[in-house]
Amino acid sequence: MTNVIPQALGLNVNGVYHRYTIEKDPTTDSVVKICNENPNGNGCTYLLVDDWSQEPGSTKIGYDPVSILGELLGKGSITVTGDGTITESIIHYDYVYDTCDDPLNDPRCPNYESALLQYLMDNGLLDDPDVTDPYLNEYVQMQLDRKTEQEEEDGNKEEIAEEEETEEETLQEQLAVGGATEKIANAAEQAAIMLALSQATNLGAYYAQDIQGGEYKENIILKDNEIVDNKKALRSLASDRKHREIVRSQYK
Amino acid sequence: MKKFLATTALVIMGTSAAYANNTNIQGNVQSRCSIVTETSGVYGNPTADKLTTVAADAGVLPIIRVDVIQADSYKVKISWPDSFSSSPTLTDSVVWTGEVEVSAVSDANMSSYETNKVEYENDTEFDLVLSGSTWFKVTSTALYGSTKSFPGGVYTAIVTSECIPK
Repeated sequence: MTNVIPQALGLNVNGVYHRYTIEKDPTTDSVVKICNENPNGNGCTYLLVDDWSQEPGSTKIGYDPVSILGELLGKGSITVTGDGTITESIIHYDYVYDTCDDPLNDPRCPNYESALLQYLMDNGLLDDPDVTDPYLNEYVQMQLDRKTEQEEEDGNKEEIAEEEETEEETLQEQLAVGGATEKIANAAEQAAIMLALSQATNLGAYYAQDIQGGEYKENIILKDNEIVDNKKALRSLASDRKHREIVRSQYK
Repeated sequence: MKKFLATTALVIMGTSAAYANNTNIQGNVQSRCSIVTETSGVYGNPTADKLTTVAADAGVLPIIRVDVIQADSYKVKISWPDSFSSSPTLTDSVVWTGEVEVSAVSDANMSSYETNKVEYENDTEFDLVLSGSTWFKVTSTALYGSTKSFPGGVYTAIVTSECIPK
């Protein structure tokens, strides 16, 4: 039972609940002590004594109203002197504490702002940053490097975009049909086009080609008189047949 | 005129004093012994013909707390049940057994209550010689007929406790 009570400022114990079972001979003497040592000295800050002498064992339940500062309750113990064995022992402490005893515990506590300011000042958290701090310089340089890299990256992107635009224009020019409409609208040009299309005689060479025709006779001669059976195929047929028999045998 | 009025008043007063009168005296006595059910019991059904509050048979022992704020002024009488307060229709007899024991005490000297208890029929009396709280546990067992099975349904029995002024 060490440090069973929170180490909160201003904690006050209002009561101690205990429950234990003592097994003993009704004709013997025994004394049970529940103690919380005094951390600042000797003895017990809290002490409860139950005298079970010449009494049969039983389960004891009790609540002892007290008023003790939590910081004065040290290591706890439950001991039996004389005959008897303690089992199923439970000790509960009923305590209260002011959560605003330390204003930093809750922003709603009065004087929270002043306490927080004092805490920050005490821990040097409000002092100006040390400009000679090598880590600070390193951090600034890292940010500058990052900015430069970003600018270079942006510049490259712009160049690539310009090149793409140039290529697109060239391709457009290549695919352009500019001037064709003028040729079509011109009567002389139309006549020339029609003349070119009507040059049917130029195709005559293709129509005039003859292909060698006639009768195509069999020219393959089998030299062997006997055609040998494919043994592999026969073996395969045999195994197929056997398989078929096995399958069929299941339905007989 | 003043004299007349005074005489009249005397006559009236004299007339009033001549009748009988009853004056009530009222007082409240607050009991210094109180009984609280801390745990309701539950019957376990280990065999078809048996109902019991024993924990080993899946029952729950009822726990009764008796608080006394004035020492050596009360006895408490606790009776284990000898009949069902509600149950399905039973056609055979039920054999009842039970026991009342001190379960826990708030003062070490109360542990002698258990050895000094007086038992008769299904009643147990404890002499509450000390102020404080005492917890009692009640064991109750019901056996039906000659190993006959209990009909299905809900069975309820009541433990009665009473503070008796000494």
